[in-house]
Amino acid sequence: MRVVIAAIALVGLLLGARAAHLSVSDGQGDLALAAETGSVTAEEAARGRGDILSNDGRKLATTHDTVRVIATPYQIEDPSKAASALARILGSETHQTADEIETLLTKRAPNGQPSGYSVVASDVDPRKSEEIWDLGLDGITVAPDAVRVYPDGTLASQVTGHLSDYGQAFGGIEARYHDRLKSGKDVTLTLDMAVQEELQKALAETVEKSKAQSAVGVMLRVDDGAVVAMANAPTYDNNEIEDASVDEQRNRILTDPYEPGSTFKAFTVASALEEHAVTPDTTYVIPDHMTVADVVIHDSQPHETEIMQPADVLRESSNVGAIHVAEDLGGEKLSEYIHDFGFGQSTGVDLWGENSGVVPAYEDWSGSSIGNIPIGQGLSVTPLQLVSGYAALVNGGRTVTPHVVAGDEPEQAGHRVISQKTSDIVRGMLQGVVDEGSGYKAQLPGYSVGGKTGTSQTVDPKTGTYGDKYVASFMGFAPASDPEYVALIAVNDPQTTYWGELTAAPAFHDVMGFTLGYFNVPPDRPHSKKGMR
Amino acid sequence: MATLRTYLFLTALGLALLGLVMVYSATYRESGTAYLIVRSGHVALAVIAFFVASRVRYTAWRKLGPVFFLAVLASLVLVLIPGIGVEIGGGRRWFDLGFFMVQPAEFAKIAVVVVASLWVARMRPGSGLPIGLFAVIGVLFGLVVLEPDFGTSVMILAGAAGVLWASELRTRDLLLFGGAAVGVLVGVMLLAPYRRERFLTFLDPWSVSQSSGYQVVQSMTAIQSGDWLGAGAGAGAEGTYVPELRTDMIFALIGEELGLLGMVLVIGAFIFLALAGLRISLQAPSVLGRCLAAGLTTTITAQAVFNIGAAMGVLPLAGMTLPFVSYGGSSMLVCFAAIGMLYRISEDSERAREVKPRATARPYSRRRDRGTRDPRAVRGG
Repeated sequence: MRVVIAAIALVGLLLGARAAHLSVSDGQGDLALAAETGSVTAEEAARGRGDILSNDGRKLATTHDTVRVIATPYQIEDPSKAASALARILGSETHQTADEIETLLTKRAPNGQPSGYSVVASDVDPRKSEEIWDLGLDGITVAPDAVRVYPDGTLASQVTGHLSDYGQAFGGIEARYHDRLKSGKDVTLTLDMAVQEELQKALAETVEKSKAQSAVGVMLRVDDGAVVAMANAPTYDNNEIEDASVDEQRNRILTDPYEPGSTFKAFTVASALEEHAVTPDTTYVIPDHMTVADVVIHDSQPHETEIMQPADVLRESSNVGAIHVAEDLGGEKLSEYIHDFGFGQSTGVDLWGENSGVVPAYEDWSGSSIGNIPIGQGLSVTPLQLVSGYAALVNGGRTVTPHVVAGDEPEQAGHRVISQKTSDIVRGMLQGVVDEGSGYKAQLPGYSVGGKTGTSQTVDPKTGTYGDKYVASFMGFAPASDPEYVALIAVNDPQTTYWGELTAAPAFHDVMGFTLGYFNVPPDRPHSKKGMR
Repeated sequence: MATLRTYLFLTALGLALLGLVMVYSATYRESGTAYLIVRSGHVALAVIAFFVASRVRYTAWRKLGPVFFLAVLASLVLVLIPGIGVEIGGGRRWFDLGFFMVQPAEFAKIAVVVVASLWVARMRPGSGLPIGLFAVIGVLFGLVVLEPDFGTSVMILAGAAGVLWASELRTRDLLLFGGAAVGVLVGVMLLAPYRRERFLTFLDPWSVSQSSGYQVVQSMTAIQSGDWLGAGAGAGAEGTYVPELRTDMIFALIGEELGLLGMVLVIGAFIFLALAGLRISLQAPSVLGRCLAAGLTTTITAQAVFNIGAAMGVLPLAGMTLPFVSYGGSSMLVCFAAIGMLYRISEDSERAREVKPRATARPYSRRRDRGTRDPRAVRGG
C-alpha cells in the first residue's frame, strides 16, 4: 500500500515540479522555453526584439507589432457566414475575398477531418483584433505576431543582416547580436547614415560609370577603428531579401579578400623606414624593369632610368622602386611587419564571416616572393584589413580594431607597429601622392588629403592564375596633417579603365569631402582650391 | 471517516467553483456571461447528481449496474448514427437534448467501473483472467474509439485497470492484462495518422508550433507567463491563444492567471482525491465496494494527471477534460456522481463496521502478491 501512496505522491510531485519549472524558473519570457527546446517561432523571435539604430539615430531594423488571425476549422459552425464577416474586416488590408477566407476556414486535415489549425491572415494591423473579437465567432482567435521591418531596406543592408520570417538571423548585426536584440535591447551602430547614403550613392555611380561588376567602400575613424560607413554595390533591400543573390547579401568588405596591389607599397616603405633600412633621403637608381629570380617585373609605365627617393617610389607607384626598398629591408623583416599590421589574421571586427586572407609565412616565400609581396601581389587581404592597416599607418602607428557597434569598443588599446615619426613621414609621402602624383583626383578643397592608388589583377578562381579582370582601388585619408578618417574604395572589374586614380579616386573624393564637412572637421588648408569641381 | 468523505465532496466542489471562475475568465471576452450561466447550471445539476448517487446504497449497483451498462452501451451505439449523434470537432460524440448536450462516453467511464466491479466481485480469489469481462471492456473501448474519442477510451481502460488492481486476481494475470492493454493502445494510436502525429508532436511540440504543436506550445507559453501568483483571474493575455481553452486546456489558464500557487493547489487537490479514494477503497467492507472505489478514483485521477501533464507538455495530448474544472456538462455530472458513489461506499463501510463484529470490520486484504503483513499497516492506509 505504501507503494501506491508513494506512487501518487511521486506523480503529484513530478507534476508540481514541472509546473514550477515552467512558471517560475528563470523568467526569460517565452524565449527561454523555446531556447530550451531548440527552436523559436517567428512571432516569438520578432516580438520585443530590439531595434538596430545608426549612430545618427535612424532605425535600420525595427519590429512592428501585428496580429495573426487563426481558425480552428472544426469549431466553426457556419464557415460562409464567418468568412463574409471576416472579409469585411480584413478585406481592406489583406485583399482576401470571402471565398478565399472560407477555403481557409474549411481546411481539412490529411485524414479528411476538419483541421484544427488554419492561418486565415497574418501581418494584420493590431487595431483589427478588437473588431474580430467583437464578432464573437467560435473557432476564430487572434494571436499576437510581429514583423521585422527595415525602414531603409537598402541602407547598409549587409551590415544590418536579416531576420527571416521563421526567426532565424542571417548575417550582419541581426546574427552577430542576436542574443542582445532578442532580449529586447537596441543595438546602436557606429555607422552614420548620412555618410552611408553618400557612400552608397558614390559607389552606385562608380559602378555605373565604369561599367564595373561591383564596388565596395569602407570608412573608419583612424583613431579607434569605428566604422563610419561600409557599403557594397550593388546592394539589396532587406525587405525583399528573397530577390537578392547570395553575392549581394555578403558583406564583401570582410568576406572577400583580394590582392591589394600598389596600395600595399606604403606598408613596405613604412616598414623599411621604421627599421632604418632606408631613410627619406635614400636614393635609388630605378630602371623601368628588373629581374627577380627569372621573373621580369615592369613598372606600370615605361620610363627612363630615374633617381628616386622613397617618396618618389610611392608617388610614381614604382614597382621596381618598392622592390628595391624591400630588398634593403629584407624579406623576413617585411614579413614580420605585414603580420604586425594585421594582415593574414582576423581584424576582430564585431561581425561574423570575416575572412583572414592569405599571407604566405616567410618560410613559404619562394625566390620571387621578394619581387611581388612588397608591391601587394602574391598575398590577399580583405578591404577591412587594408583600411585598418592604413589607420595604423597614419594615426601615429597603433593598430585599431575595426568595429560597427557603438559602446563595444575593445578595451585594449592597439599595439604599436611603427613609431609616431615613421607614421608622420609616411603620411607626408602619401600626401605627396595626392598633391602631386597619381592620386590627384582625390584632392579636396580646403583639406590636405593623403592616399594611394592601386590596380591589381584578380585571380580567376577556376584557373588559379591571373585573368583579365582587375580591381581598381583608392585608399586615402584626410585631413592629411592630422587624419580623422580613412577610406577605401575598391572597384571590381571596371570596363572603362582599370586605373584606380580614374575609377576609385573620384568616389573617394565625393565621400570624404562630404564626411569632413558633415562632421565639421576644420579645414587645414582653408585657401587651397585644389580639388574644386 | 465522516470528515474524510465530507472533505472529498468539498474538494470536488471547490474545484468545480474554481472551474466556474476559470471558464468565465476563458470566455467572457467572446461570450460575456453565457458560459458562466450554463456552467452554473452544470454545477447545480452535478451537485444534485452527487446527492442522488450518494443516496444509492452501493450494493444496489448489483441490480442497477447491468441496466445502467446496457443503457450506456445502447447510447454509445446510437451516438455513432448520423442524425442521432451530433458531430463536433471531428468526433460524433454528442446527443443534442436541446438544453443539454449529452456525451455518453463520459457515462461509459462509470459503467465500465461498475460492470468490472460486479464481475470480479463474483469471482473467487486467485481465479484466472475474466475473459468475458475483457470482451465487455473491449466493446465499450471499441465503441468510444469509433466516435472517435481516444482520450475517453484511455480512461475506460484506466478505470478497468483500477478495478482489476483492487480485485483478487493474480498479479501475474493483471500484468498480462496491463501489457495487453498497452499493446492495444499503441496499436490504436499508430493506426490513426492524426494520433501518431499527436504523439510525435508531444515529443517535440516546438518543431511544429505553427501547426499541430500549436496548442501545447501556446499552453506552455501561457503557464510560463504566470510566474508565482499569476496575472489574476480574468487578467490573462496568453491563455486567449490556447485553442480549446475552456475545456481541455483550462489548466493553462490556471497557470497563467493563478500562477504556480494555483497550479500547486489544483495538483494538491487531486492528490487528496487520490489518497481519500484509496483509503475509502481499502476500508470498504466487500470486494465490490473496494473495486468500485478503486476504479472510480483511478478514472478521475488518471484523467487529471493526463490533462495536467498534456497542458505542461510532459504527456501526449489525448484531448480530455480536467475533472470538475473544465467546461463540459457530462463530464461534470459524471465526476460528481462518482464522488457521490465514493461518499456512499465510505458511509456504508462505516455502517458495516458498526453492525458487524470487529473481526470482519476489516475487508479481505490478503492478496497473494502482498504476502502476510501486519493488518494495521493496511488500516493506516
